[in-house]
Amino acid sequence: MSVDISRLRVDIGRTAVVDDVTMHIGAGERVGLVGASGSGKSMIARAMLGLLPLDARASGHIRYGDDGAGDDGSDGSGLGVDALACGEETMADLRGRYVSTVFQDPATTLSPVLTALQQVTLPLRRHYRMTRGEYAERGMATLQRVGLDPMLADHLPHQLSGGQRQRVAIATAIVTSPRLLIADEPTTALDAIAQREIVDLLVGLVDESGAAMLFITHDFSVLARATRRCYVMRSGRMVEAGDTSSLLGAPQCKYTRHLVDAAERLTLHGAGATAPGADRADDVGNTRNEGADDARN
Amino acid sequence: MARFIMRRVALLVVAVAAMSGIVFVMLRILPGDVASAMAGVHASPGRVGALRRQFGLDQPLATQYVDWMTGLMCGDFGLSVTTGRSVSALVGARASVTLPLIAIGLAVALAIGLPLGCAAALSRSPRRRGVYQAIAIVGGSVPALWAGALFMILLGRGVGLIDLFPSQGFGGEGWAAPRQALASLMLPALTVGVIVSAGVMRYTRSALDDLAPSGYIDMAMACGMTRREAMLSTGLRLSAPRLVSVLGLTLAQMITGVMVVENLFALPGLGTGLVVDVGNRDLVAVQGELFMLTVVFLVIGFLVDIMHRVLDPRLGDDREERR
Amino acid sequence: MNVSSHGPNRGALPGGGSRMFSRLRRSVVRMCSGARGIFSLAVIGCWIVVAVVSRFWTPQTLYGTDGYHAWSAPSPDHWLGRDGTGADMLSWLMAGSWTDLVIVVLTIVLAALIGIALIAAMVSRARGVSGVVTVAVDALISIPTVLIALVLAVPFGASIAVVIVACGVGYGLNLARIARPEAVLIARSDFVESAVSCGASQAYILIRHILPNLMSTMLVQLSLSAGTVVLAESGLTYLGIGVPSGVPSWGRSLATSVRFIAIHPMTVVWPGLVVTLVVVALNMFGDLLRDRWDTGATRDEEDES
Repeated sequence: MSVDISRLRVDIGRTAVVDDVTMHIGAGERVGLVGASGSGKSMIARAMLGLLPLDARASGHIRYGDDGAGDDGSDGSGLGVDALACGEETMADLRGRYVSTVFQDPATTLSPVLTALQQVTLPLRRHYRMTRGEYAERGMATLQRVGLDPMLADHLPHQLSGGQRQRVAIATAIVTSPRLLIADEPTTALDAIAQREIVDLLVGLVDESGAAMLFITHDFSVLARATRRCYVMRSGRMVEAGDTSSLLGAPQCKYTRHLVDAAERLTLHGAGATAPGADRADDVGNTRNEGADDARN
Repeated sequence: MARFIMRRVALLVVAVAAMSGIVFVMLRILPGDVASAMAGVHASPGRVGALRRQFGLDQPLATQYVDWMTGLMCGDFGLSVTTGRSVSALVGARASVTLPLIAIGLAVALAIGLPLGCAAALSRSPRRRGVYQAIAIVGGSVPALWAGALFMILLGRGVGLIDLFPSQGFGGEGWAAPRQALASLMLPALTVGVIVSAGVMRYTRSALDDLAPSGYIDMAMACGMTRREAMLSTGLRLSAPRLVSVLGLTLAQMITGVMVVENLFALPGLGTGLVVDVGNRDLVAVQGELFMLTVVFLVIGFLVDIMHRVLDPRLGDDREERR
Repeated sequence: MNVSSHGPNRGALPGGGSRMFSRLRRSVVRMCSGARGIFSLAVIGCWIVVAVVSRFWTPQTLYGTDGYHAWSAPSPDHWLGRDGTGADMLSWLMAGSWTDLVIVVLTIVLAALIGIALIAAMVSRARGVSGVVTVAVDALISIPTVLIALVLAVPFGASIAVVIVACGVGYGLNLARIARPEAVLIARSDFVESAVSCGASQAYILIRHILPNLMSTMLVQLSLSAGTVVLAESGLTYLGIGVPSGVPSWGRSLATSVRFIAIHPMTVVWPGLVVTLVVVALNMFGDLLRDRWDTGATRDEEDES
């Protein structure tokens, strides 16, 4: 499944949190979206999913389509949909079936009353009719694929560690074999070792199933592991796009250089053992006026 | 969980003991001699003395209290001063009217308040939200007495515009004639329910409003639900602990309304009985009934706390912070 | 994705009692711009004016009974008709507004005093005191005000004081429980700690730091309680443990007309309407205050009467 975003604009109140953004994600492609907190990247993800806050207004187009590379995307559903023009029911049908997402902090998104297995089977139960046994079987298999101990399947989120929770969230996202996975800062709430494991897991799973992935982060060091091509955002606008490796090597724009420098410094000083936000605040200032995005991140 | 329940049971026992003491002491220490109050204004000193001996009021307070408590332990609340009947039997008979009234009233309140609260939380236009808010405020401002009177005028048999339900009394046979008994509870329960529903509506709305921008709703939607579905399943489930807590308090505060409504519709329940006994200065009966009612509310508080725990698994495990 | 939460310690700054009142004034002024605000302020204003006027003048004398015209329909002399003794309904309602105003004001004052005393005990540095009071408040909160009133009514009989004391105690407990989390947070905050290390006394800290910062929560909660006092008065009076017979009050007017509902159904409309209107106005006022200030006060207690 491919996505074409053209001239996307999102307003909250009187501020444009996303302004004139155009980007493309090809089928089976892993694309990065990088920028400081509050630069509007989460809003793009939310617009793609139909999860914009109620007070946000969006214009432009977000078209889901199949550009031929998909092997089994030929069933027709979910294709040709414009996320900003279609109804809520259509988007709900798309979410969790063809397009799924991994949020930043599993502690505040995984329902505290669902066990790991119940959580993972939720999208299945929404979209597919199976017997109870089949749900459980598929759920357990998915939990195993993301490397979660089967013993933990009946645990509630607060009984799991941060990394385990994020594995449950990833399992929930891939259980229906979606064609596009939107990972919205999936590693930010984790420590350095868990970060690497989660990124490798995501990349492995996506490549295995041939799905596309949009990987959103503020951290270039993570981005290099996860994507080949990326877009750089600042204050709601797209400032640069290109190969991740070439951007890392020779950033064109000053702002991108800041982000790259920050990532390198973090990597040199003990692989992100410091809090990810600590250095960022100095290096990439002046985006704080867009509190709207921050408040929801 | 087990530890929490043990602690909570201990607190309940202490609270019941404390309340028995408070009820007992309040009724005796407050100014005015109880015996002369019971005997009435024009009683002779001899009559007052006899009453005092009859109810053991000449004994020291501690002895009286111990006597009363030992009685309570065996389910013996003493004998009514005015009727001479056993207070335990009296309380039992009256509770068989009041408890069903509360239960049906609560069901009505939930049936009205929950959907309205959900609708208010789901509506997006400010104008519609304003209308729902106005409904909640007005609904919570109507005196129970007036609401009951209006229902009577509207639906009461013999009085109302539409002859639908009996508006006075409980029927001679009580629960022996269940249809009749239930019919005579309908108007009172409707009144109580409508009054309480405004609170239920408000709590439901504010609980859902607080959850609406949360990641839990986002997650449910990301799994394929519409916002509406997510709010009605995940949202309601996650606000359940909070709703149960408030409902417990609402129930405690419902009792004034219940007492008024019982009087208005002439139902022989605990509320009517208590008012009559207070009027008669029937110390033994008042003491027993007040104790029963406070126990009922302490037990409700206990159950609400336990349910809160059960509904919110995050509290259940190891931390023992709340209460 | 964090839920943006309103921490209860927001606005916890040292001092600020007078600032609080200018804030209250500003909020009231701004309320006049909205329909709901105008409505609630107008109704409350009318209530107070009528209450004061009724001390000096009512259209008819209160005790001008006339058995021949009991329950007579509204007429030019008796706008709302007459009650069961032939006295003028409108005059009784006007006189009742004074009684209800007195009850509401005194109850609120009593509730505030009890609430403040309990809060002082709960943030006290003596652990035993704060622990016992906190547990006691938690246990007593589930005892309905009507039961307190009933206990008081056994020795005292029906009186205005019973209503005031019962409601004052009940709402004071409620106030203490709602304000507790915020009070504890302030008591543990840095500026209070530093005041303590400078040798400030507990009373000084309570008056100078804790109470001014609790003011908005308390005012909102108390204004929301005001409506329930009016409802409680009508309920308790009807049960015969509130305002004694012969004393004008809205509850009294409502109770007497309800007793004859089978014969004169329409007379019950007016007193009920007055009570409902005033309670709506009081609740709306409290709601608006809370919306403006966004305090942690909730309507946990709702006296249905």
